[in-house]
Amino acid sequence: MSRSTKDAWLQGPGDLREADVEDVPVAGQSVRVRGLPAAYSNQATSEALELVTGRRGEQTARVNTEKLEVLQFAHGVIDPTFSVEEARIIAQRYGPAFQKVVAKIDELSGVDKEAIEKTNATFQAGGRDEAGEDVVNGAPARTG
Amino acid sequence: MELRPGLADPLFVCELALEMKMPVGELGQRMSLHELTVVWPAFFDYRRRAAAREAEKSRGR
Repeated sequence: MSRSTKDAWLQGPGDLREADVEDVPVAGQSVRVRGLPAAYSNQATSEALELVTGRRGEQTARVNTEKLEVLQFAHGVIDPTFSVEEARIIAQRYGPAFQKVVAKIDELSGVDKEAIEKTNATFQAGGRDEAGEDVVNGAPARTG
Repeated sequence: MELRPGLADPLFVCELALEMKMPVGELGQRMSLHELTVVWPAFFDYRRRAAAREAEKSRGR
């Protein structure tokens, strides 16, 4: 294995937005996935968010997780591509392989648990402490 | 409303669209999912906390 060059890192296509998920659906095969745009959320909200009316007429919102993951799969897998209906069939036939693909799409989209915690920590660290002091990395930012 | 990561609260999206003076559809076209469902909600939470602290401070004066 040769050492990578600086150009390979700086001029290469990058790997943040797309990735291969290997050994799905069976060992030795893979799919190419991408991070999702915000437009996916709009569609997912309108299609997977269901209003359930209770006995007294009260309405509560419920997320249809299965439908949500099917949409994620259909929009996030780019090679080969699948329609929403095909993704629905795949979700019924594959468990771990389907979840592995969805988890990778979440990761690339920056909505996995780690990315959320990192972002929340950024806003905590860049905020103010209980005494109202500006703080950065836990230390008061004002020195004067 | 407790939503799965990657799914934006429709009320929050409308609030953000109002603030940015942009149609909801345009938000979807111009942002990443991370920005819409992670960064902006975290910022709004931070701003809400800061405003509450300021209000508390003003009451104490």
